[in-house]
Amino acid sequence: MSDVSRLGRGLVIRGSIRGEGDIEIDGRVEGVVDVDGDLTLTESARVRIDDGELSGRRVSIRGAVAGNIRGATAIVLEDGARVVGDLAAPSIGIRPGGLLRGHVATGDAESGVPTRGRADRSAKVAAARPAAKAAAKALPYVAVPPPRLASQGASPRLVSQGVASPRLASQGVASPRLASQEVASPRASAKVSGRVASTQRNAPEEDAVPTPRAKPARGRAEAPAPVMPSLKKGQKGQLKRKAGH
Amino acid sequence: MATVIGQGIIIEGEVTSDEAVVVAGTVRGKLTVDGPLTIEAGAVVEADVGATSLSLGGSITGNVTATDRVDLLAGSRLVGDVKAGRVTIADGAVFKGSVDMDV
Repeated sequence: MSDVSRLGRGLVIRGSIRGEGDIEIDGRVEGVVDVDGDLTLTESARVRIDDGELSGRRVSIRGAVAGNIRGATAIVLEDGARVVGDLAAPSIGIRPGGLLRGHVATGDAESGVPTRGRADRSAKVAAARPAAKAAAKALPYVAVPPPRLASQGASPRLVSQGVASPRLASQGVASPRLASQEVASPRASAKVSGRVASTQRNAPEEDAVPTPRAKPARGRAEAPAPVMPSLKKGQKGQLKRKAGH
Repeated sequence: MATVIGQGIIIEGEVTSDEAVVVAGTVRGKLTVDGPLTIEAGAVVEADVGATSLSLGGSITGNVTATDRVDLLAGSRLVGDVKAGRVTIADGAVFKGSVDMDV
């Protein structure tokens, strides 16, 4: 049934939680959560996924999660969320204050692969704007891409991805408007896929420049190339390796 | 701040709580509550249960240990041993096991 379950603050569950219904988690869970309803993790929630995913319909997080998260409709990291793990959902939001270290993949929930190609442009542009804004707002620090990318004079289309672009970093986060304008380029794809790492003052040391080698392995597993349909053939090969954010 | 495990939820593993717990779904494994435990009608618990007090309306397959009391309501079903200071078994409850009240 769709009554709301509450796993209170003093609760510790070691094992699996499955079934239907909405769950509000205030306590500790270690194991697997695979529910056919909305998941709400409050500030005191501590979830560690050992083998599998934290899976629900709409997953809203204010607490700490170690492990991969999958949302059938959406994942939202609110202020206070601390997540180490990958996110996969058709729609992902990271509110200011949410912390994330992991791989983010929006788009098709089933395949988990962001789709390229010419679908309805207006729909993609409209969806891209909030996604880029959310990404721009959430990152107080954006990882600087390797030098080769910057020296090519990152094309406006590249910046329009909204994630890990040198122009966005140099202008500071206070330019979500800029990001959204550039996103309005017709070639931009609504699907954002990439590596997201937000930092906090007392967070452990963060890679200033992510190693280029580490990224492509992840990017490859996800999709043949990140979403950059508009690049010319010559550029594609180089950028494929670099832009695995 | 009570914990409520809803009807469609199935938990398999160890559940520990220091607050009141109400189970309306399914719990398999081990259930230990440092407070009152209520198992509603329709709930299925296949676990050894520990609580300060237990009010059973559903079904438990496993041993029950309560520091205070155990109440088996009408329609409930308990297959397992009970260890508690006070025990009531309502008319209509189904019980198979031993009772030890000398806690």
